[in-house]
Amino acid sequence: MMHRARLLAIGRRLLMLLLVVWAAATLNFALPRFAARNPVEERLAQMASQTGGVPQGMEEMVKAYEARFGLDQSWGRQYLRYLGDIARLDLGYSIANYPGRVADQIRTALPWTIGLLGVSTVLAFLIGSMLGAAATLARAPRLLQLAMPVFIVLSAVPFYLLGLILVYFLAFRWSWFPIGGGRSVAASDALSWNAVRDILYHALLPGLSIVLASVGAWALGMRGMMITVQGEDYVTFAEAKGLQPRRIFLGYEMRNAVLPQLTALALSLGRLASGAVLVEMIFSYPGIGSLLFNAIKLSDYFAIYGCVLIMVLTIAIAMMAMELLYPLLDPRVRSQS
Amino acid sequence: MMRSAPARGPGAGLVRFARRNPELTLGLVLMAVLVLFAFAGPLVWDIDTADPLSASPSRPPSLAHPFGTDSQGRDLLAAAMVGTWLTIKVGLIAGGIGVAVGALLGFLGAYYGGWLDSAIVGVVDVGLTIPALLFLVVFGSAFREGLDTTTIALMIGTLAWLSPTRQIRAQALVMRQAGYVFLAQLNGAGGLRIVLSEMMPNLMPYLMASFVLAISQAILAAVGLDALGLGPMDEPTLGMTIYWMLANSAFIRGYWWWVMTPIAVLVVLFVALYLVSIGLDVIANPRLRRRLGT
Amino acid sequence: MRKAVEVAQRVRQAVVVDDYTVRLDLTRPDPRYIYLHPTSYYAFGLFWEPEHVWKDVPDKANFNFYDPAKSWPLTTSAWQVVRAAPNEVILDRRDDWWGAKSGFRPLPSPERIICVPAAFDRDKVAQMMVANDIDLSADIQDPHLLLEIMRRNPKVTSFSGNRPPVGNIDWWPLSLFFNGLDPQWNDVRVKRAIGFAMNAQQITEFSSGGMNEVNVTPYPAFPPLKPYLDAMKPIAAKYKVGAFDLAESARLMTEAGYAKDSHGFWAKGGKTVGGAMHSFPLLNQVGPVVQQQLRRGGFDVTFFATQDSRRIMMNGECPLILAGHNGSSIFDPLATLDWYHSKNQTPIGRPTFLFARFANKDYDAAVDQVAALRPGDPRIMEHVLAAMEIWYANMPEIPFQQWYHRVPLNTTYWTNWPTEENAYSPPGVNFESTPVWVAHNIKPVA
Repeated sequence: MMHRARLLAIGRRLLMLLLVVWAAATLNFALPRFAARNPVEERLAQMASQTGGVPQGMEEMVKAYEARFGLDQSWGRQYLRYLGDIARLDLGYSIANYPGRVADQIRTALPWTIGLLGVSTVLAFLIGSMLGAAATLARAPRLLQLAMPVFIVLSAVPFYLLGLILVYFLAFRWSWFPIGGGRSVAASDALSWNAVRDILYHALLPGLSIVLASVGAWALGMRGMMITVQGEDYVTFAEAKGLQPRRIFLGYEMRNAVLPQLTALALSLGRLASGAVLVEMIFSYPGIGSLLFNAIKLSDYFAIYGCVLIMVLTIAIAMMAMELLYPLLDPRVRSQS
Repeated sequence: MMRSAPARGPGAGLVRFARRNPELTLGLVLMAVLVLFAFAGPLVWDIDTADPLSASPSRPPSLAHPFGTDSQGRDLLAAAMVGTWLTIKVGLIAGGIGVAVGALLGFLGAYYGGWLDSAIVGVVDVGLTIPALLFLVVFGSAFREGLDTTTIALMIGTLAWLSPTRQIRAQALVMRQAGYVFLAQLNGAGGLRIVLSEMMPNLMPYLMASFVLAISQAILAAVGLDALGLGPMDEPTLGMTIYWMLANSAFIRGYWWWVMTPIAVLVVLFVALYLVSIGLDVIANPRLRRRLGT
Repeated sequence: MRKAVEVAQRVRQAVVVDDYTVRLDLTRPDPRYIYLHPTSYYAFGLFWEPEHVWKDVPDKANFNFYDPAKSWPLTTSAWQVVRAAPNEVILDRRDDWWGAKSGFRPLPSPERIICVPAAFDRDKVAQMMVANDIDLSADIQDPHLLLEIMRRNPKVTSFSGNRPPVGNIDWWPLSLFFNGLDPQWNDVRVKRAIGFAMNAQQITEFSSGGMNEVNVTPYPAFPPLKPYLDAMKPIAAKYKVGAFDLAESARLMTEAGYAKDSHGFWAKGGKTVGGAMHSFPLLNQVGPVVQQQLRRGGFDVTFFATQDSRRIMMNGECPLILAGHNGSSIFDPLATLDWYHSKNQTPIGRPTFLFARFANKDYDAAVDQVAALRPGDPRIMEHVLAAMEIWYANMPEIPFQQWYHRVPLNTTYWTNWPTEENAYSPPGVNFESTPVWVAHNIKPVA
């Protein structure tokens, strides 16, 4: 009985995933067309502007490339072909780096973003949750009490502003950290210990700005949840039973408070993806956010769609994973579904 | 509880309020300062100097220009005043749309349930998965001739209702089971009437909290868009000031006043909104009032 | 491929004479053709490709000619592409280069050249320069930034060292172009009035700290052009080009039948003068300043530099354009003059970079005379002056500023960069077409 209910739930999640991707893909398709932009024309115009003059034969070239990209067919046919391509994760050619393909560009860029954002977010979540929980202890150290407002202020500042300030002081003025990039200029491709160290060194500042800017929010949320949980009946019961305070704190309060936080983590992934674009821009970090930013500058629409689509897909998958994991962690939900 | 103190009217009432709700008070005070800055400021300072060519370029703070000038000759104090108002305006418009639509959909979904509710939840879930900034970027880069503040506000408004709908619906669902609703139904009151006259007033604190949160997120999105260069070129919003500051290498050139002005105002703004929303959370959920570590 | 039509129009046939000679037969006499396609001249010039590789390629547009195992791309260069990825391109020197073996040129010093993209991030470039992570970069454009880099890292220099303009003149002098096909510019008084409302000195002060020279001609100030420019200046002075005079501007507008409306803008019949002024994001410093000046003069102008702007400018879908002149004259005045020949007046909706869309029969006649003479012929001068007289009388644009390349040169590890004293890369370094030549000449610091 329970298995069937679970399968239904998973099925619903999958359907949701497909819906999300379809919606994002359709928006990507529809918007620029409604705004009557011509990506091929714009790109050729950019290329022609080096030498100026009267570009000869531009209309013919535009038409030729449009035919190549299938842009000269009716919207309906284009849409169907587009959906088919998406289904195969064929994101087409990059207009700016033709004949490079968008999927290849994303394939090199995505691991950087997942690495940076993934690690920073998990770190921020863990540190923030622990801080928030610790702040509710009756004998919380004064340092912690003072640290909270600092983190609140920091979390009010968007990632990229914090990143800018960090870069200026730590990387430029005092040269403790590299200014940007994912690795040093002219690093080799080999996966040696040096290469790993180099990557970590470059990831520190962007990671730090994300962590600093998000810790406050997690801490505050966790503290709120902890206080709510502490008022719950089962905690009162545990205290009445005479359990050790530490056991109550860790096993009852924290364990229950952290669960809604996980949902919040899933929800915040969208915000993180948006933040990624700006953080990667500031630090010239070679992830998908930078790719998207450069694509915007170059009017490389296919790359823009590709990046947005992949980001949406990643978020949707992460959210689905979270929703599926949740019942495993929270038995109450398990029995309901 | 304070019977020993002489009841002295509003003064004592305010102090009591402040002591019971320090976050909300501090937040409101900060907001008041900013609003005063944006509205009363222009009365004492010439905001025409927020236009380019008003002063020598790139000057550090001085008596004539307390916040210094930027590389196009804008007086940064005037630009900050104009920008604060523009930024608050975007927040109010987008946040207002967000909460109004969100409240409506949230209530309707929670109260009527059924397919309407499923449809609303479905759309909201899908919409929330797509990162707002990305969507706005795709939107913004598709428009000809750039955007102005009001258009940006409306654009953000089209996405701003997603989160409030979810939050308000969750609260409304809880309230739907409440006793007084049941009583009203017994008394024969219609659905809409119940929603408006029974549930709405009790949800006020949540609505306010949602509103403040929506404002905060709208401003974040607007500043992000402007900073990426997709904002209005001739309006000195705080985000555009950041954009110009970045584009002119203000960091490297050491123009710290140009860097600090928009960041400082934005930090005060975000912190104020944050504190207000925490304060409202406390009103809505009195248990949080215990042991306020800050 | 973009130049295919041009080549077809200009070249009748290419004939192989022997192993070392190719003859290009042109469709009509053109003493200046050598600078258009066959050589790498500023931003002109085509790349020569090996036929034996390309002729068997089925889909030429999709062929990216990259395969390090086969040493593709096949070039005659002293360096070989060994790696081309989105984040870096690496070129290694070919020690068996034919040029060194045959005595054509000595083997260049750099053994490895690494190219790293930092296209939109001047700050990153600046920081990398200061940290000695890079030796050469793309144009920084902002003189203050370059001076700051030089201050923090004294080993960094520029074409003109520490002295203004901290760079070298580029072929892209700036002007405010009037869309020649827009009827609101039919009255030349309106155009002159706009010119008087612009304060070129203030523009350069605000956008470059005064380091960009004010300009009253559509020409870049390259030294070989000096005789022609000196001769033109009196004509410009006669029409008071470059003067800032709001009173004169107002007088001309009133004479042309305009009156100021309630917003303070000049208007006739309810319509204001001005409109959208499109430009490149490159001119983000200049645009708002010009907009402000024109608005103060009563012209309803708004500055745009969006992603759509380039297309709008090229198709002539806006009344005003703020831009430079691509393809300007470098040593011979014809190239710039040709900009305003009526054969280049492209209808609205069809793309061009010759934004002025100007047409005047007498002007055409004068320019045709120049085209028939070889560069350097003394008879060119009188025709140039005749053409410029008509040009200034009709004001297709308001020129206001020279443009410069400001390329930081890092002397920490390499020396013998091109500078004013050592200008082996005339007329300056634009680094879009000269980096390889520079790479042939730099030497490691001892």
